[in-house]
Amino acid sequence: MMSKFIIQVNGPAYGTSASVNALRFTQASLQSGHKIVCVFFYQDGVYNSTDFNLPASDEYDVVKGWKQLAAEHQVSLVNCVSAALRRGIVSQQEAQENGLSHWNVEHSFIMGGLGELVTGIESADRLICF
Amino acid sequence: MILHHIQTSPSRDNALKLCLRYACKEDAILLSSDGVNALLLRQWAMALSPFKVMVLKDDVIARGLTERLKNISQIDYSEFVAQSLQHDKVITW
Repeated sequence: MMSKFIIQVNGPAYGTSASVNALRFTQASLQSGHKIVCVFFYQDGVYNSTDFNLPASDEYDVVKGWKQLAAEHQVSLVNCVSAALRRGIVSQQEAQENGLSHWNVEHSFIMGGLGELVTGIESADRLICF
Repeated sequence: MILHHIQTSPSRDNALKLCLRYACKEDAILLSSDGVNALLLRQWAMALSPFKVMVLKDDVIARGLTERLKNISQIDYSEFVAQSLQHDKVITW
């Protein structure tokens, strides 16, 4: 039977394995035929959305892993915008609004709020946090 | 029936301690990442013994603990997905 999951990622791309574990859980649930409502990046989880991470080419790139998953399975990746802004994680729109000449979040990630998390939890069968 | 998910070592924070305070006997506990380290310490292994305990297989392998934890139920990600649906909810502490 198909179930719906919402995934919350609180851990950064580097430092703990939370993000890799979350990605692998998300991949496994898609492989089992379930649906992902969205992946919500909160607290230090927003560090998974920067395009400025440049890991060594022979190293697993978890940020790329999330982007590929989103592209292949049409999964929406949502950042908590206030968690992001206070950590220097900025999309083009926020850069323009705040007079910054640089930004590090491209279109794979949407800037959202806790509202998206709450409505996502309402429509999902399970919330899984990492 | 709750699946309690612990990702951190009890030497690092109070996640496991808090979980054990509130867990009911029909609940299950999944240890992942550094959470698997809890089973290396006798006091925590004893505290976990009344519960159904699972460890995430790849995190056990990554830490070289396969032999040491061979008596604990080791699950892969697809089983993790299945367990999360068999339980009413998953709480990550």
